[in-house]
Amino acid sequence: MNVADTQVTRIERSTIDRARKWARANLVNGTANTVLTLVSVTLAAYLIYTLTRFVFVGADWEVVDVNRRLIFLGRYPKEEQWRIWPPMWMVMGLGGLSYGMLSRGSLRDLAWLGAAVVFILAFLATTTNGLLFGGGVLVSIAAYGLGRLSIGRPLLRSKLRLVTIVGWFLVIPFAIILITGFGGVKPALWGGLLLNVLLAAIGIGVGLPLGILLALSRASSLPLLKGFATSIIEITRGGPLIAWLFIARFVLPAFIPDAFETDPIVNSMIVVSLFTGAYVAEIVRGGLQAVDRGQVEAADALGLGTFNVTVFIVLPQAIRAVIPALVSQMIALWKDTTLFAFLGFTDALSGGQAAYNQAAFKGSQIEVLVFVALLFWAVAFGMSRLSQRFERVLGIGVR
Amino acid sequence: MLPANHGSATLDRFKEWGVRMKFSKYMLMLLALLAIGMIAAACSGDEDDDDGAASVAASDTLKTVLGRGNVIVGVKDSQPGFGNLQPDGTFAGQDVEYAHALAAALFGDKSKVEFVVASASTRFELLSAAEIDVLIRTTTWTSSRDIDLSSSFTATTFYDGQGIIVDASSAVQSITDLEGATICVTSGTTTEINLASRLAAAGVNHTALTLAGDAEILEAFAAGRCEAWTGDKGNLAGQRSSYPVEDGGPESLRVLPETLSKEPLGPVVRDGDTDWYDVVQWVVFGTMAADELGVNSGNVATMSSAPPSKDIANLLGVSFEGGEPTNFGASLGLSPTFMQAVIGQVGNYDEIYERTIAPIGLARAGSLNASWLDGGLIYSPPIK
Repeated sequence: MNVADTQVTRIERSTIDRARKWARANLVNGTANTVLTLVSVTLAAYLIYTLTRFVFVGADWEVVDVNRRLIFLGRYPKEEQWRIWPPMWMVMGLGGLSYGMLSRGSLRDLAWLGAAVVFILAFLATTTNGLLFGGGVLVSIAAYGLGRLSIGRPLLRSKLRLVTIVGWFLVIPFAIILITGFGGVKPALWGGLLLNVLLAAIGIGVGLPLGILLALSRASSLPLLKGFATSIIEITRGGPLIAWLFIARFVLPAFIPDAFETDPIVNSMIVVSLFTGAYVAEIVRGGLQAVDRGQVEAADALGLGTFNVTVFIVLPQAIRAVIPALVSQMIALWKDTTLFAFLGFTDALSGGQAAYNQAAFKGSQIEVLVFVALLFWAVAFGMSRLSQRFERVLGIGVR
Repeated sequence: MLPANHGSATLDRFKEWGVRMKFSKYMLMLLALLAIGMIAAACSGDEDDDDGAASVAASDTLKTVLGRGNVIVGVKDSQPGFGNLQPDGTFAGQDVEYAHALAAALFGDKSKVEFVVASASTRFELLSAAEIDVLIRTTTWTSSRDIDLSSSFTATTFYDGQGIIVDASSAVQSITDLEGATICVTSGTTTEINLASRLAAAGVNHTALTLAGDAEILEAFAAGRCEAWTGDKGNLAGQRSSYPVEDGGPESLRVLPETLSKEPLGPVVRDGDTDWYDVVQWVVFGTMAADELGVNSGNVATMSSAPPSKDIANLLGVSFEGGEPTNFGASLGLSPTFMQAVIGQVGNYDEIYERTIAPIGLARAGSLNASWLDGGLIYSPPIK
C-alpha cells in the first residue's frame, strides 16, 4: 500500500516535472516565443469562451430540436421509419465487432465511444428512438466484447473476420432492399443524413472496386482495354461532379429508353460511383507503380498466372500503399453528397436550410449550420480514425 | 550486357505477353459483351425514338399523369407562405396547396402528389426535361421565360411586386429618402435589375450589397451592413412577420409603400401541351370562381346536392333545376365533379390564401390579390 502510494506520487511528480520542463523548453524559451505563447493562449481562450458561450447561452437549439427529422431523414415518411432500424443495428453491431477486433483496448477509444453514445442518447432521450438506439448500443457493446474476446483466439478470430467482411458487404444492399422493397419508400423520398450516408456508401462500395478494375485495365498492355479505361477515367475526371450530376438528372433521361429509365437518384448513384471510380483508379495506379517490378517477375518465374500475381501479390501491396489517399477520396465524396441538394433532393444540409427558413425559426441559420457541420465532421473524423486504426493493424508506416 | 541478353529478354517479353493474353481473354469477352449490350440499348433506343420524341414534345402530359396515378410538382422548400418544408418532412404553402388541388382534380385524392424541390437555377431544366409535370414555385411570369424557355404560364395565383424594407426607426419613408444608402439584394434575380433601374429613374444614388439568399440578407441587415433590403413583397412580409424578437420583432421593420415591379406568380407548364395547360389553368380558375360564388370546403357538399345558382351548378358539374349539367370536367378529360373534390379537399382561393399567405402577414383585403369584386385582380373567366 505504502509502496504503491509513493509510486503514484513519484509518477505524478515526474509527470508534473516533465510538463514543467517541456513548457519551459517549448513555450517560454526566449522573449519572442513567450509573446507568441501568450498571444495564442489568449486567442484560444477567447475562441473557446465565445464558442462555449454560443453553444450554451447564445444559441437557441430549438430549431434543430424541432427539425431533427428533417435533418436526419428529410422527406422520408414517418410511418416507414421502422425500416431504418434493422440496418442501423446491423451497422452498429458490425461497427462494434470491427472496432473490438482492431482495437488494442485503449481507454481513449472507450472515452470517445462513451462520449458519442452519451451525446446521441441525450439527443434522442425523449423519444422511442432513444430506446431503439439504446438497443443498438447494447448490440454494439456486445459485439465489441466479442471482438475483443477474439484477440489471441485465431479460430474465433478467423470466423469473426468472415462474419465482419460478409456483413459489411451485405449491409448496404440489405438497407436498400428493406427501405425500398415490400411496399417501401421510393428513392425520391430518401432524405436527410440517411440520403448522404446511402449515397456515400454506394459511391464507395461501387466506386472502389470499379476504380481498382479501371486502374488494372489502364495498366494493362492490351491497347483496347487500356484505351477504354483511360478514356473513362479522363472523361469522368475532366468534368466537375456537379456537371455530371446535372447531366444524369436532366440530359441522360432523354437518351435512355423508357423501359430502362431509372429513378433520378439511381442515375445519380451511377454517376457518383463512376466519378469516385475514376479518382480511385488514378490513386490505385499510383500504388501499382510503387510495387517493385521484381516481385512480378519473381512470381512469373514461379509460374503463378497473371490473375494470381495481380490479386495476391500486386494489389494488396498497391492498395496498402495508398490507403491514406483513398480515405481522403472517400471523405471528399462524403462531403460531396451535399451537392445532390442541387438536383432537388433533401439531404441533411438542404433539410437544415429549409428548417431555418421556416417562419418560426428565422435568423437561426448559425445553429442549424453548426449542427449539420458537426454531423458531417463526426462521420468524416470517424472515417479518418478508422483508417488510421486499420493502417496500424496492417503495420503500415511501421516497417 | 544488352547484346548478350537480347534474345532472352525478347523471349521474356513475348512470354509475358502470352500470360497477359490469357488473362485478358476474359477481359476481351467482357468488353465484347459490354459493346453488344450498348449496341442493343442503342437499337432499342432507336425503335423508341418516334414514340419517345412524340410523348415528350406533344401534348400528352395529361395522359401520362393520369396513367402514372400521381402528379409530379416542382415546388420551393424554403419560402414561408408559398413553399416550405415543415419539421415533419411535408410541404406547406400556397404553391403546395395548388399542387394538392391539382391532385384532387385529377384523381379525387389530394394526396396523390410527388414533390420535387426545384431551385431557382434548376426549375426550368426540371420542367423541360419532363422531370416534373408542372412548376409551382413563386415563378414570375415574364415575356422571356414564356417565349424563350418554352414554357407556358397558366393563371396567376399571386400578384407580387418588389418592395423595400427598412428599419422602422429610420427616417426613410419612401424610396426618394434612400439617397446614398446601401441596399441588400439577392444575387442573380430580377430584383437586382429592378432596384437599379427604379432608383436610377428616381435619381437616387445607392450601393447594392449583393448576397446569396434571404438568410444571408437578414444576417447582413441585422449586422448593420445595409440600411434597407429589397425583395418581393410577399417574401418581405414573410421575413418581417417572423423577424426575430431579439432583433426587435416585426414592429421594428417597415415596408416602403412603393412597388418597384410587377411579379405575377403562378403555375408553369411546358409549351405545346394544351390539354394539360387547360387542366392546370382551370383548376386555378375554379378555386377563384368558387371564391367569387361563395362556395367553400364547408358548404360544397350541400351546394352540390342543391346548387343555388346556374353558375355554381356549372362549377360543381351538377345539373341546375333539372337541366343538363355542363361538360366542364368532361371536356378537360377529368371527372365531371372534379371541382367538388378540389374545393372539398383543398378549398377555394380565399381559404387557401387565409391558410398559407395571411399567416405570414400579408392581408388579402385591399391588396392586388383581393377578388375583382373587391377591387383586386383575382378574376376567373366565366364557367359555362
